[in-house]
Amino acid sequence: MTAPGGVAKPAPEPGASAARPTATGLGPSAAGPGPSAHLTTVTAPAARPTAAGLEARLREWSQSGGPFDPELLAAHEEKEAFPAEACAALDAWGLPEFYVPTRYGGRQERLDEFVALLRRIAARDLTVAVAHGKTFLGGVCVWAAGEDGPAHLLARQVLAGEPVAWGLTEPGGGSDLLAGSLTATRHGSGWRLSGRKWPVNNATRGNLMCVLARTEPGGGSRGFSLFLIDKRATPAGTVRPLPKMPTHGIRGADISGLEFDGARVPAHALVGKVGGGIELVLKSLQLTRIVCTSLSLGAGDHALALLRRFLGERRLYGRLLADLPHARDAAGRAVARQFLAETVAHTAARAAHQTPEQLSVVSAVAKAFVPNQIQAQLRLIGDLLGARGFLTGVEGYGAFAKLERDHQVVPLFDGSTWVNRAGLAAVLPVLRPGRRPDPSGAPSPAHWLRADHPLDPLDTDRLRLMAPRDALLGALPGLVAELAAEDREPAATAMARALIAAWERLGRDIGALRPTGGAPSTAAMRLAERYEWCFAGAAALALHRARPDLRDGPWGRDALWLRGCLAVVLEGLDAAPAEATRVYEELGTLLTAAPDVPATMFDVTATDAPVVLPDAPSADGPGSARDVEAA
Amino acid sequence: MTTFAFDPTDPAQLQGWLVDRVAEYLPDLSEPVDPHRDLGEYGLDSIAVVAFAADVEERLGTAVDPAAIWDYPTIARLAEYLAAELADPVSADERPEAA
Repeated sequence: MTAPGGVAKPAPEPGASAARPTATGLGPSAAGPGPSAHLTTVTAPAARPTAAGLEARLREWSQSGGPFDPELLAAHEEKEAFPAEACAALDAWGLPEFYVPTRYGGRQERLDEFVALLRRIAARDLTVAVAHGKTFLGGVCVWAAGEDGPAHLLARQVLAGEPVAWGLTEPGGGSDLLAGSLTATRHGSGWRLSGRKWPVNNATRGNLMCVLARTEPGGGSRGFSLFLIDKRATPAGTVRPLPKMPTHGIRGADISGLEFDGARVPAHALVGKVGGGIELVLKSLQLTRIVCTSLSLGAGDHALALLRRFLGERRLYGRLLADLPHARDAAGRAVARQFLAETVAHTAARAAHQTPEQLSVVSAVAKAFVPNQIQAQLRLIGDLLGARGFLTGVEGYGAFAKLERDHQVVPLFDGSTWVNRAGLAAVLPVLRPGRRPDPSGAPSPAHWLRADHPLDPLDTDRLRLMAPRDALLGALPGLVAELAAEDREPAATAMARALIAAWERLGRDIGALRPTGGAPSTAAMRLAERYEWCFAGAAALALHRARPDLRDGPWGRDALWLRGCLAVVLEGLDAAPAEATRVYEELGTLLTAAPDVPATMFDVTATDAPVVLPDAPSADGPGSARDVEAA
Repeated sequence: MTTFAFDPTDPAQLQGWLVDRVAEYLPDLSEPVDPHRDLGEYGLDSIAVVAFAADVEERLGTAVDPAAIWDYPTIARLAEYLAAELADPVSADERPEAA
């Protein structure tokens, strides 16, 4: 990748108007902006737009008549109409700048930051996040190819608000990239494209699409190349949209396709090298798979908020639903899964900077694991909501049915769970415990997960198709030993030791795997799933070690969040701890007793003021921990 | 330091070893593996190529990116490439993995 620096902004600032996110006072440490803050025009010096700032705007936009007004978005969904108002608001806020790396004039620097931004949007409306966020996917191959000319060209377009689609899939091809039959043949100094890309997010609405095309008749890993197609620059009639597909969820999104009929494109449409398409796509997927997890986290946030409201207002058998032990247990399980999912996503996003050589494994784990955790969480919450989750006409709760429908596409994006797990299963023998220790001196994940650790710049040149090792699981024995040596959290330590035992069992089972030339066996897929659980547990331990601040506050007391994560992990590994029931009870109690405590470890709106828990039962509260225990 | 029963810097010996490795992945193959035939023709799909690269990397103790197998798609060509890599420890130290 070319070195950053010395690159002037190639285009005028997009939408340089009062709506741009230049208002100060949006930073996480600032007091919340007043209700009219968005009307204030503040010029230089421009504050960097933050997830907290976006959250404040989203709150305003979600009010009646705003672009994110739930009624408006529900009406769009009903009519399968594109959420144009919401996308325009995000354009005006400046979200497209986060699709462009800083060296090309944008603001894209850190993947964990982008995951936080897209998560905020997904928590409001998953369809909008999917519809807008696809430009991240469409652009990533061009940035990874690292050629300044095409990259600056695309950067100008994206910064001007032009969406970019990513055309990989074809009818009948599934996730198999090598099955693609859309062909590019040389024509004069340029190329001619013929064939179809379908289904593709935003294929019809956008002018730009990054297209994977067969450039060798026989195909193969070196038989495909990427092209950045601008529909406006192709001869009339040679590029036609294919109709939007009716979908079960994200019904307003433009899920359609393009048909190319001898479409001529110039030589400079080629992205990267001839024959380099598959490699570039596989490396880019390592980044986009991590970004996809933000969609799941947002859906989880949204569902947990609905659950909290329900637990606090629904009365059954003369008492609040929150007072029923079963409801608290299920709520606790739902929160624990959310913590575990966000821990894995956060770790993966930072790994993209610190250990990009290992990202093929990290991203496959994150993409297979996080959406499935949230699917399971949504099932738990759906059970609790009962009819509320099913009826669309009850004020506020109709959102659950929509987000549950919308989320079902996330496990399919950018390689299904099966595809990601199969990729992991294939390399398990290399990842066996103790097989290949980290080189001495390599920083532990607990080091680069520290909040004050300056992340390395995102360098796509360091991505590899195969990870030489997995530093996170390599660090597991050390992390457990450190936790034990602290001698402060006996319950968490016992669970961490159980995790080590499960990890060692997995290692022995992996050792018995025989290489295979075809699709992985069911047994190998099950081992890969166990690997994901172990990875998630190690991520939670590393985060606990790295972030002393997460030991304070309501979720951190007695390592509550860590115990919740480890309980879910151990259950997944068929080693459910006796402690689990108590942990979920504690988590569920806290969720209902302290409704203002954000149900996340990565609260973007956190202020410096510590959140104080109610110590005594309050007269008008939804019931304190003590009440619940007595129930 | 990994030790071998053969000299991995000798392309001919390495080729014989690689033929055996590929055969492990193709238990149903009734004929001998032809070192001059594209591995793709044997049905080693993209996932299997990654597994094979991981396996070879593991046993040889040198970085073998699956992309190397794409660039040297027959056993004979792969053996020549890997033997040269193994014979040149300087370039091996400069691999990004060591960073």
